[in-house]
Amino acid sequence: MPTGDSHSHGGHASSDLVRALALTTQFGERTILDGVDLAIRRGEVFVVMGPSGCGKTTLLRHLCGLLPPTLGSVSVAGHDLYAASPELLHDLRLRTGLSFQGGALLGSLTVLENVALPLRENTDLPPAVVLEIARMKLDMVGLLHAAELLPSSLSGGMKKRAAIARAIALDPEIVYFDEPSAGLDPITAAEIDNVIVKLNKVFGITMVVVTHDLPSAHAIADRIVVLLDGRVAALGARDRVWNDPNPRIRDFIERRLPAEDSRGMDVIAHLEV
Amino acid sequence: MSHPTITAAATLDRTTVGRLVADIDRELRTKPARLYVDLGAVDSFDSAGLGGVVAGMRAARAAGVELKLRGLSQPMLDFFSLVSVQRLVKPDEVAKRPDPVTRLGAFVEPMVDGALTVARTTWDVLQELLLGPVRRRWLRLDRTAIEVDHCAAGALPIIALIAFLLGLILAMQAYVQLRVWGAEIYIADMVGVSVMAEIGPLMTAIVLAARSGSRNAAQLGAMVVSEEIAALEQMGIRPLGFLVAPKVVACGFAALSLGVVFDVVAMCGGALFAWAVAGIELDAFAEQLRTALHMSDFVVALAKAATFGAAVGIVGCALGLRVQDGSEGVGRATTNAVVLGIFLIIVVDAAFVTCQRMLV
Ligand SMILES: Nc1ncnc2c1ncn2[C@@H]1O[C@H](COP(=O)(O)OP(=O)(O)OP(=O)(O)O)[C@@H](O)[C@H]1O
Ligand SMILES: [Mg+2]
Repeated sequence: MPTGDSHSHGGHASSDLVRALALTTQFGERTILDGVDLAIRRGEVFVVMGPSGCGKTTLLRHLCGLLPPTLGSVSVAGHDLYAASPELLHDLRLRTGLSFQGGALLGSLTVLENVALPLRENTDLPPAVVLEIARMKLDMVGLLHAAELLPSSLSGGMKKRAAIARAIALDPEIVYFDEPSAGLDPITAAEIDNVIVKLNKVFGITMVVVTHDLPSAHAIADRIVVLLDGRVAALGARDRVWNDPNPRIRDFIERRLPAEDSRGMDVIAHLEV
Repeated sequence: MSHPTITAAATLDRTTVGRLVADIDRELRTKPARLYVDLGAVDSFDSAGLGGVVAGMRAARAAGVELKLRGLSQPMLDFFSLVSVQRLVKPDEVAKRPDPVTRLGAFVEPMVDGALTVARTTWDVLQELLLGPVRRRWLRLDRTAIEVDHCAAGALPIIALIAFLLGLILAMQAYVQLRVWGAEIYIADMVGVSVMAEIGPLMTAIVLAARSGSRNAAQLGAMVVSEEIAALEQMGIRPLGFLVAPKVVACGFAALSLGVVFDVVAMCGGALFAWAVAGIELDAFAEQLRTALHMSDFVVALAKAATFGAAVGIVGCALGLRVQDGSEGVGRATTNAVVLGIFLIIVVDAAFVTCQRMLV
């Protein structure tokens, strides 16, 4: 039984659920991730931050088993993800949820059917219960009223929320969210934060959240990693990262343009006075 | 009086919830005034388990039974704080089955709509090409060249292969008939006339519909879905001039040039068969062809091929640009582009032949 509240109510076991070792990604000549080491603990809310394009989505794809890294390894619950047999990989995937940055809903199914899909395909629950669970998950993200719509008639934020509902449909052991609150209004974003924290507390689901939203990161995180230039620039408990003295982390947390950014200044050299 | 009570087992998760739902259903069938579900013994649950409880509440409500929960733990209350049970168990509005007229309408409307779109796009493209120069809008030759490379150059090998084989086949069919009267020389007439008048333009256009009509519909459909078309329009770049007109012109040109290639290769195939099997010298075959074929027929055949090609291009673009339902819509548009394209080819062919015979 992979799910359920069998693993403690919010009390964090010390064992690591996911461990990434020396992850390195190269797309052609470009190195995106360059030796990323991190461990995600069972039952925590782990937030990934970093500037746009620094490789956060790429990191998630490595951790979920969707994209093999150029170098390095990922282990989930003690199993090496990229050396696992197809059966084991399938089993590990069922224990994992992922809400994609762009939603990735199936266009031919309604919102409700999209959320019910993993339940219908991977469990033998009675159909009425499947629908009820799907409707519950939709209500959690405030989308019950749109249950019968097709994804093509949803707004960007609605697609995102439907994707979140689908990611948590199976009560997975670990859920990855790629920018769950980007494009949402502050109130809906806070609702999503609440869902993440509550599900973490009630079921002990491990939550890995990529976000640029500083208040939201601060509100939900147990631990934070900040990626800069493909490396781990800071990793640790929320308050430690928040008060990290590293100037580049300070720039990021305090939303400042980096001091060495010369934009707008070097034109002066070309002025004729 | 006492009310029936159902006690959930210690584990209420996706492996055991089926039993709870079945228990509730069974009790509901006895129509009690009120039914208790006791969750006090539950020490481990997941959302499937609680989903079963809500499903039971919905069933009870539908049966007019009051269902009460007992013994909810704090974690369960935490979970339920994320949803509104009121909202969840609200009965579904039953979808009414539409009446026959509405259903017929739903069946016919997309066809009429598709036909109208094709007609409108034809009109727009004609305007763009004929009146465009007046408004100083020229056909985008760079984009047209890219399309020609795909539609015409890309299709050359398959067209040549089909033409050659069809030339052989037609000659063989004719030979079997004509041998009886010793009139083998007329193989040239049979092959030449049927290829030039009908088979050449038709086969070329059908291959074009399969290769390029489908490509245009899928490409433009995907561009609609990913909002690329909207972005182009917003930037002041008209999809009609930037995408549609070059594609239509390229398809017309491809049909025309490939049609000529088809005619030549098929007649070569026929000549080869006649020489190898029926013993007709190549010179004699060529001479016979020259008397059988007329320049005016050739011009009409070319016009026909170009019109077929343009029709295929227009259908693909028109259907691609009106895609609505994401990936599903792209698939539908692609299928329809080929099916409707081939149908339209036949319609245009009929129109051509009728006009030609009435004029001559
Ligand atoms: N399939 C790919 N092929 C080549 N390069 C890629 C591919 N996917 C991503 N990249 C590159 O890798 C880098 C990191 O991309 P990634 O999507 O992981 O960024 P991100 O941190 O998620 O950014 P954002 O916050 O904007 O979503 C980018 O520079 C991108 O150009
Ligand atoms: Mg990303």
